[in-house]
Amino acid sequence: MISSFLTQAICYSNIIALLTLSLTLTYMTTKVPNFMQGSFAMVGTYVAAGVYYLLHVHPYYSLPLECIVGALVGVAVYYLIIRPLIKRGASVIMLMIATFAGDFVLCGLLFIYANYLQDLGIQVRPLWYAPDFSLAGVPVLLIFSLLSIVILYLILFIVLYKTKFGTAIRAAVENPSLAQTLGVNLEAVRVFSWALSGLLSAYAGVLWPLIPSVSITDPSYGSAQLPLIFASSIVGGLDSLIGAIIGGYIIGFSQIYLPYLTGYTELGYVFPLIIMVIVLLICPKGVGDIIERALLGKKAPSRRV
Amino acid sequence: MVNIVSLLEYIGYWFGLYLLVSSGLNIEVGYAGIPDFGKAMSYAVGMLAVYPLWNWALAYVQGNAALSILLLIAIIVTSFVIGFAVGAVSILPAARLKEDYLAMYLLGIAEITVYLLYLRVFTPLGVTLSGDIFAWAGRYEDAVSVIIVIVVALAIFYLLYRLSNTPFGRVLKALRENELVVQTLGRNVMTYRIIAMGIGSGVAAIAGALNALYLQEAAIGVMARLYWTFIPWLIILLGGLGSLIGTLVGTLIYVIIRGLIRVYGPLIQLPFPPNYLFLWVMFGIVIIIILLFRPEGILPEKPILTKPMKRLRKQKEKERKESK
Repeated sequence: MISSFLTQAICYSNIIALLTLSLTLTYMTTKVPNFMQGSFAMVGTYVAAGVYYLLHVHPYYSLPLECIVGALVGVAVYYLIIRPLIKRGASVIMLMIATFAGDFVLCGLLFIYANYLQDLGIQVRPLWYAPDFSLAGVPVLLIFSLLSIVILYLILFIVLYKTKFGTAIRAAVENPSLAQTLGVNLEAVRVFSWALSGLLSAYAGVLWPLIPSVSITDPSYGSAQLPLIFASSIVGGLDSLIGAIIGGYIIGFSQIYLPYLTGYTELGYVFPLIIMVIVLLICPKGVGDIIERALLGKKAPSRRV
Repeated sequence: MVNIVSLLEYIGYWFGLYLLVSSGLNIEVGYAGIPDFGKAMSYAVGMLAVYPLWNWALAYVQGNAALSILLLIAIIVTSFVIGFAVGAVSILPAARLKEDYLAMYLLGIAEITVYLLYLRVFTPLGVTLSGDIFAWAGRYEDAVSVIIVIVVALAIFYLLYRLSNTPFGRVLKALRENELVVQTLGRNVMTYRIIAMGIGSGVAAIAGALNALYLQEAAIGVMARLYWTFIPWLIILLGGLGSLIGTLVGTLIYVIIRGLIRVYGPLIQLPFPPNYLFLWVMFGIVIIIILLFRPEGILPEKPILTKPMKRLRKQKEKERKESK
């Protein structure tokens, strides 16, 4: 019998891991920490809510639609904000500021959309969402999110290491200008990563409100949770895919378990950030780096995907 | 009918606070090159100077003009010291971090601090103060307090402006351009980083203290990150990184737009609250447009004119005139 506490921690960690994966993907290819990641997830959440209430389709079944919308948002952000700035030679800080200005826009649009839903009589503040199914006493979300993470990691692994396009991506991550000289289409790699990032975030956003303890107060919930996604990304190591998943689990479990273990029950939001600060001070490259080295036995300090 | 006086008070008050926070931020970002995404923390700790530290004195001085102003000065100094200490300590462990890691680290640290203050875990913030420091002005209390806020902000802005033109300011700019060169020329990079961060945070802390005195309540909200980190960033971008005069102009533009939206926004007929469109969507779009087409800001940074440089320029002009 799985305790509900553990179930919640696992589901929550999976969602943070998905969001961290999408943050890592764009960070690897464009070298910018995306401040819009939380709002990317909210796109999925609110589209799913709209579909659920207006067309009466459960979020699980409408997932493909939200994924397409999320991918489109990701591509739009890349073409409207990131690409023109990179072409003008903007610095990392400029790109970061551009993404948080983009977060304002996306959040504002989501607020307007949520307001429209509210006018139709749907409760959006806090969002009242479809309930989760249950399979033989186990929440479907638990199985579903675990399977998604495993399958997703396998797909990414196969794409990155067994296909030609994957080799191109890894080359572009390692050294963009050299890869470009050798004929790698850097543009395609970046568009792909932004589309995938938007898709995964929307996917996580659809599943997020299914966790019973999570209450989506309004569309700015995503950007309010952004520091946690950053924390998980830093804990895992900013350019490691397996690190992103490990980081998600460390952050998720520390957020749910540490407050109860220490007695400060209201500090669920603070513990992950403290862990982030400690990790930054001890090993700035992240836990993923250490684990990869231990597992793969490689000593060369090269960047691995 | 729109009340012009209250609109002016609103604009002036926010002008003072945002001028303090953003000019401090510009010293950090535009001069020293520290991407401080944790401005909300310095603003929040400034309130500590008012609430636990000087709260007992507020009740005594109420109504007495001379004592009130003395206390105000004491509070400003205390909040600056607290802000300086917190800013300096927060950057200490981050000596080795690159810019994007540093930004995320500072964001995380600030989130922790603000959240702890918001929840009142270790400090009793969120209480009404024991007295009103502006009570002596009687009928004109609102106007007087706004004027005091503006005067304090402008005075500190002037000090920062003078500071930025000293050799110290020039070392900070060199630090932003190339740390290695600064180190090679015999300056300790970490000392300058700590001082720059301390000054920036101290100035922001004064804004926190002033706001607490004005509202007569020391409290920080959950939206602190938006109001006291992101908006100052947008202001310094608008005005120009590394240009303090630009920050002054940027702040003025921002507070005037905000005041006008506050007054005239409700008059516009939209199917949704106008704040969403104006304060979120339009603002974000404006910033992206600035980044794309004028990344140096409205008033771009100018080279610092030192005395020898001024003399040289005059000489050159003289020679040019003589040759004509």
